[in-house]
Amino acid sequence: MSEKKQTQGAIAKLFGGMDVESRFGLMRMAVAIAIGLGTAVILILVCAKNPAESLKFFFLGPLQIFNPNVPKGIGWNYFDQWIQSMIPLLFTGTAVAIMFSANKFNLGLEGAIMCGGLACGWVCCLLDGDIQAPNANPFLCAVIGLLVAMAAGALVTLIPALLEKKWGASIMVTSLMLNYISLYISRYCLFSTTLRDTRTSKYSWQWTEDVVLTFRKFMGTRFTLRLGLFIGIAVVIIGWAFLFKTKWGFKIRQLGQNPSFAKYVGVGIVSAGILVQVIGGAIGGLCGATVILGNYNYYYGVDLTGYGWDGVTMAIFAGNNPKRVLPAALFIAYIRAGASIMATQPGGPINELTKIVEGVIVLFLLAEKFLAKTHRKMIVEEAKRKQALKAVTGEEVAK
Amino acid sequence: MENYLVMEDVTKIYNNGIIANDKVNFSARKGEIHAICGENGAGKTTLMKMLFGIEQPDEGKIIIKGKEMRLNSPTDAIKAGIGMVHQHFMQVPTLTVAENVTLGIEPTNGVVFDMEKAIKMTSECCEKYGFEINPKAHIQDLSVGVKQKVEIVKALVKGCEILILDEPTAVLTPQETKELFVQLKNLRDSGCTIIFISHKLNEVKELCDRVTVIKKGKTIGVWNIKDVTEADISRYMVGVDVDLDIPKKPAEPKENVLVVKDLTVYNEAGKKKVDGVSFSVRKGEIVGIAGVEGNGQREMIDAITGLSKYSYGSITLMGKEVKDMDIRGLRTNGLVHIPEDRNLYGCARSMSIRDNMIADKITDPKYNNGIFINEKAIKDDTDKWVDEFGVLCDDGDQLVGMLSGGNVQKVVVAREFTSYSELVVCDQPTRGIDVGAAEFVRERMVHMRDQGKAILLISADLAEIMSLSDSLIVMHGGKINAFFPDVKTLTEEDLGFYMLGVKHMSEEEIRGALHE
Amino acid sequence: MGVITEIFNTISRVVVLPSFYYMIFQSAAPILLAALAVAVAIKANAINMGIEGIMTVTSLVCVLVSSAVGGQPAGGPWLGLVVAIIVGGLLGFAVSVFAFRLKIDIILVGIAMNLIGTGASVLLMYVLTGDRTTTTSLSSGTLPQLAIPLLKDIPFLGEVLSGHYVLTYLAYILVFVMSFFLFKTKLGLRIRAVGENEEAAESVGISSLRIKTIALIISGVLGGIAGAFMSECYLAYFSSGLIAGRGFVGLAACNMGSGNPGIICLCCLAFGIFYAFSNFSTLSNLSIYALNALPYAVVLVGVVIYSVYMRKKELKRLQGLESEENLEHGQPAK
Repeated sequence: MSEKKQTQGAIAKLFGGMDVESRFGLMRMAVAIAIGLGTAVILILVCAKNPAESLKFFFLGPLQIFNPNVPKGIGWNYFDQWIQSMIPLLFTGTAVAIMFSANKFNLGLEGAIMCGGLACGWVCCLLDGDIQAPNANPFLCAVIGLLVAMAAGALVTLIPALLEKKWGASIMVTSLMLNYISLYISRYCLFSTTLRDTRTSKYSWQWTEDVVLTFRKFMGTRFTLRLGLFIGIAVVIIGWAFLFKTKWGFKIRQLGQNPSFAKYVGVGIVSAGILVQVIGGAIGGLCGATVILGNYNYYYGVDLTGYGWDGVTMAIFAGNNPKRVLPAALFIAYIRAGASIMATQPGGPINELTKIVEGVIVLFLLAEKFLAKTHRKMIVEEAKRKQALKAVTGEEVAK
Repeated sequence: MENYLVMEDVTKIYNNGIIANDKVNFSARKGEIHAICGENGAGKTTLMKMLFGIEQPDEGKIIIKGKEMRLNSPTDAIKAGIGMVHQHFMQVPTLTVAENVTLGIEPTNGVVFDMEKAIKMTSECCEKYGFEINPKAHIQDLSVGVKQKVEIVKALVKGCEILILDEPTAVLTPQETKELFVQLKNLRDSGCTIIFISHKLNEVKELCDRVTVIKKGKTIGVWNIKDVTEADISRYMVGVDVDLDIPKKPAEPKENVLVVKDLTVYNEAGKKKVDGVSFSVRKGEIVGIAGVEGNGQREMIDAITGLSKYSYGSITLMGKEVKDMDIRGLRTNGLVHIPEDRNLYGCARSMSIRDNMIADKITDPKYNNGIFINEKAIKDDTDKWVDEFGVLCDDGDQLVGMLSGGNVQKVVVAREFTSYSELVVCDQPTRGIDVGAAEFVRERMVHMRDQGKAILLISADLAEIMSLSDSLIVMHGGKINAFFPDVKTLTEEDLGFYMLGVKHMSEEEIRGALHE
Repeated sequence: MGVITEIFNTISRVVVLPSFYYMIFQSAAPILLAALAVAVAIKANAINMGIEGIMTVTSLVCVLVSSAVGGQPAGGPWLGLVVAIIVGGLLGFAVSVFAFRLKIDIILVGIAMNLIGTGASVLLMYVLTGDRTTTTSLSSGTLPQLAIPLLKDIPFLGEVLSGHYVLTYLAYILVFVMSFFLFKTKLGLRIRAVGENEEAAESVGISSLRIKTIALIISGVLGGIAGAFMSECYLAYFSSGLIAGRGFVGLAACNMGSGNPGIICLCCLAFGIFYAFSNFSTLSNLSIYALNALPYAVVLVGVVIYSVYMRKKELKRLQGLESEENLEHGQPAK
């Protein structure tokens, strides 16, 4: 009994320490996710031939390693899918969160990812490729690949930034166009240049097993530990520290909140604005490279990845705070993995289902008027509590 | 007619918990100009917003011509014969005057907008009330004075009988104000009821028939204007007499901090706005700049504070030419600046008080170690400043947007006055804030002066500028028109002559501003 | 050097073909419809970024409705078009509800809309047809192509201008209709007023919420027509990547034309030229992928040129304003 009270007290303390806005934010998040998952349940009930089975796979699929009835290997396979689909989300979420913090609506992340992957693939082919290429140190090759990818990604987001600075062209429009240009550049390089491997059905030359092993550690047959996961987590942490703990991050947030104010207190607003977009693009490039190195031993980029848009979803889930990108990525990756496991089962609905769920959650997370009444009630209560507190302390002073 | 319009026990509580109006009573007769006076934040604008249907009262009644009304939107208000001229003009810049005037009651020919008829309606209304406006002109090409007339015609054309004017003279030249008053009196004589909201008590005294004073969301009382003096109204408004006799010792100016020589500034469109201005500001003095708005002060201050670039001449701060410096460089060299528009430039409303106070100092080694910011040092110092500058708040983590205007300004002042400074530029430092906060800001300015800072003060408040400044520069037409080394000898009347360009000083006298 | 010669060679081979010009008009049409859809909304200061999603959903709806009632012989495509228009309008309304009643940033609503639209259309297709990529298994048919009397007999010109799908003609007619609507009607005036200064419109009793909602519904309707074009004219079926960014290109074209239907039309035709050019890549030794990137690059350059032009224009206006002020107040006194 007393233990229960203690826990309650601890929870109250935890929540009491938060201000109204954070408490409300948390509550809204919970409700939005509940609505989203509710949508998923309804869709599965309607679409699936065997709803009970499908629901089980959707909600528990990625956790099948803990299920004694599922063979170990297959369980790991499911788990692997979860972790794997989380990796790009970590990058794109951080990238968009940083760009949105400065209020820069650069949607060129998709292009940055394409070009990053392309650049990295090309570097690996040149340094460690299987056609007449010198065999460089595989670790060095991977590192150079990542760095070049960052530069390429940064370039893609830098172009709209410069076009806006110089001529006032809408970042949103130019960055959208650059995504498609990037896509066709990637296809061009793959199909019309020496990057194409004419011997096999693969798309580009292959790079050596050593480079692959630098990036992937095979744990048994079903689970592969990818270096990308750790790079992604590092990006999240560095992104958060950069935005909230450094002077540059402080300036960037100032710029995002009020550009006139930022200019007036002496922030170089043009350079800060361009800087965030370059950072965003560089993270995007890194993402593209990580995905390529983590999944293939050749370059394969003939379609837009959609990761750029994922970044927007992620940034919204995380409220533009990289700190919350990790839990958000865990969640989104989980439902995606769940959905694609469900889709592999006979009669199960397809994984595009998660797009609907994500869209619904995004809408309810952002809706200012959603739960407005509860919000107002919380504010009023808080105000009353403060007033009472003031009255008490006032009396004490009077005494 | 008595009680043509009655607002009875009207209460309004905003979402953030602020009680803007607390059982306010207000009534107006037919055919009078009725002033509503009150400090900023007293609740005048809220009261009028309720009358115009933009906000809805939580309690109380609005009775027009003996009938109780529920005004849920401006449409309801317009139907009830109420028109409002807002502080910021409600116009669509790329549309013509006729389109703007008839917007909402567009004459149509089927579904097609009937431009001919719109022009006719506009010009008829203009003729009837004696306004000279070209209905075919585009709003974006008009001057402020004409825009305001369009605003009034807009209300009249919809048959309004009660016209609300929210601080209409704030943006006008004295000439335009005079013209406006003549037209308002004409309107009153033709039976229109005018509600005139203003801070400028002399205008209230000159124009209005009665005055209602509101203080902290409550009605203080209603008087016939001839029964009260300006000093009375001011006393009702603030409770105590406004006393601008700021205790201050005579200035002891030392060497030059800011030297402006032959400064010429062209604006974006290539028009010369500042024309060969030279003056200097020395350590330990307050130099005031007076002038009717739009005579080059804005552009000059923007050039000095680095918000815009200048074309010819030189500005030196502590002996260094500032032409190629960015704002960061200016601040490192000792410039601090209280900007005119505190919500646009002075603060980031969605950031905390702490973040706002530290905004310009974040690069200071005290607050960062080269990469990471030092949160403890920031917390300690900002807590100290919140106390020192008397910012009313829960704590330093509160968002600036939650504070009242006066407290926001205190945050701005706290930030600027705690930074390294040689030159302090104060641009309208007390505009739109409550008397207590204004007094505090003025005291701090004198305090800074006594510490040996050079202070440049720009203010539209003549009482303020005359009582604070040690010496005074008057600008007119982009040039310095007068320089008074000692403000004590100056009368308000004389100042007015120089501001309006009726009198001019000789080159010799003006050159005194340079202290060579 | 060789590349430039090849470019000229290709151009000289392509420009003599009437089918090239036919292709310009055809490929510009869906983008034009999308751009007009965005334009109506943008005039009311609402960026309908969800156009891509609206087109995706409506293009699927067309096919489903058409095949359900029996396809082309039963007039299915026409019914499909009608339903697409209704669904488009509803989706436009949905955007307005989320953006203005629930107060979400409209661009983010658009992005969510695209997300849900893609997800929902593929899911729906899968549930109804069992296919994840296309609806080729359904026979939905296309809308008719119109042979214009007299015009069709004129050599060359007839081949270029006659024989287009009915919605292609509609797209170009809508340029005039939308111009008239936006600049000459009462509702158009209100839309522009709300778009430019919402407060001003509110202050004279115009409900900006209502006007914006109407604008977005019209936008959705036009988006529905654009969607119908894609699955009943451009192709005779729906596939998962059918829209392929045409909504976004429309958004860009609208940005270039600053919401003015006439200029938008020219921008779309410019896009159409390069798009058609890339479609004739078989006549060339140039890389098809480089040619594919060309239309998007052209839009990018166009947006930049337009921005430069608008800046200059604004500056000129400011200068005009200043000189008038001088006349009004006389020269500053000395």
